[in-house]
Amino acid sequence: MMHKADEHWLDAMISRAVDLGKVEFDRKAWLDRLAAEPQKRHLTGRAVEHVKSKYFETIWRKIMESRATKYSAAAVIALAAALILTNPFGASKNGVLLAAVQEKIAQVDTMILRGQTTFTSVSDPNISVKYDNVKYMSRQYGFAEDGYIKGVLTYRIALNRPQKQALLLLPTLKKYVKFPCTEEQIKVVERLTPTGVVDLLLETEYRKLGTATVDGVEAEGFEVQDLKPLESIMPKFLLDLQKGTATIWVDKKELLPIRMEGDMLLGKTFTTLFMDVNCHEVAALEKYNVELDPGLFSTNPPEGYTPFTLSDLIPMKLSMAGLGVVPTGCLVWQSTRQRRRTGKLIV
Amino acid sequence: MTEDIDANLVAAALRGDAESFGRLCERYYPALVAIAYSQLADRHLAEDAAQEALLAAYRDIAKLKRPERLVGWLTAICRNIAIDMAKARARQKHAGIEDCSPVLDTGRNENDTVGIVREIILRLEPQMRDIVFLRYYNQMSYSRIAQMLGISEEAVNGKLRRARKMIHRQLRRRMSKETEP
Repeated sequence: MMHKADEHWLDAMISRAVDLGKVEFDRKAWLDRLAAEPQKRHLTGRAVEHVKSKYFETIWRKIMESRATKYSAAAVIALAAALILTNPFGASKNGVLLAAVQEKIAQVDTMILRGQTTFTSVSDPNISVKYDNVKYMSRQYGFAEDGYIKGVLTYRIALNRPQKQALLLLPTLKKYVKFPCTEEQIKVVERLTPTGVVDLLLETEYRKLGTATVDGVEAEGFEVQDLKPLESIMPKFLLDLQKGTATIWVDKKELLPIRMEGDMLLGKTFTTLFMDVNCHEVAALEKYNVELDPGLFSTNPPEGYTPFTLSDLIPMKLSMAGLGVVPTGCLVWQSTRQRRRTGKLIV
Repeated sequence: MTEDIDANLVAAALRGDAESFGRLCERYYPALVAIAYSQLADRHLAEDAAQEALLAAYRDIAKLKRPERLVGWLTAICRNIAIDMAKARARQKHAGIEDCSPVLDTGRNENDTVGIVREIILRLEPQMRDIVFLRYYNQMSYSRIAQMLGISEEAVNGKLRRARKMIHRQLRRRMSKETEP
């Protein structure tokens, strides 16, 4: 049993014995250390600015310097929702390193993606349409997408990068819309790179989905849970993206994104025929670095096609054709005709 | 209150907010240094270990299944790193490589009472050492120590009392030996 005085003395001795002096966390030194090992350290979420500036320069950084280009990069998914493009790039952690994915995709010149897009009216799930689509991406030529309904080519859209022109073909109507790509759209196309989607992942919150076998491949998944940054990508009267999520799966071995799934709620605009619409998009990487026919990206309308005019937007015509079309080439919509139990035909 | 702040910071850090992680680092760095020091008995190495632990934690924060255990998790990472460093140092010694870091800090005269107390503390069992450092150097409450070490407050209290007794007993023995003619 110690006396009080002894206790105080002992406490004082122990305090002095363990006194290491003032220890302060040097954030800068720590960040330097973190930055010095970017290949080993995966940077989660919003990466440290300090590290960004050192290691995520080039395109990604340039995107971030401009509000417009930043959102252009983020436009990837909005555009996917609009059926123009889908780009299932992503990043990972726990073995699938962001930098490695970026580097790998930087070597990809062409891609073929195959998937489906399903639009369903929120108020009436019977009004639904499903497109099978094939997307072609070429760093040299641009982007092209073919959309099929039950095997019939329903639309084709091409954004020709060298010509700065876009063409929307509507084979069921034998109509076409040709329009110049604005500088902003070109930027979107240019930013439609892995870095753009990595940027999106970094800029928005995302959830890790863990490892799974996707299309027979061991992959790591990420879910972007908040697509709000995309809201301002397009004018609200064209695309009212109210909420959505996107899932990206990255092949752990090849370090390439192999699958993307997106779910979005699109508000009433004339592109959705004034319905609230759920959009479900799935795109899987089919091939990459294959030679693509430059003709796929041609913006010359085929023979027999006539220009799509404003009068073609008359609802009656749209109903007859089963199509809603946005001339800016952003959305094609078809409501399938289905019979209710009453036998009444609805559109 | 502190736990609420921690929970918010941890939640933000888990969402990838580097700023929040930085604040957590600032908050726990001295404690991690103390934990590492109790293994390494070298302040510079201890700081290295603590920084390394924070790097590892930042890299693997998504692996943390239960955010409320962040502090204990950080402590475990730091202790493991410090143990590895201590082993590496021992291997270097064994291989005849000159090791610059002393077993004990030589900043003070080891013959004085404080030096003896330090020596005794560094020979306590590892968890007792941690508790002594966290209590006397970091001025932590029993509940925070318990949280860091993943043990109960009662265990902290018991071990600290035993540690003090041992230090006192050994110190008296050492001092009486030294005063013997």
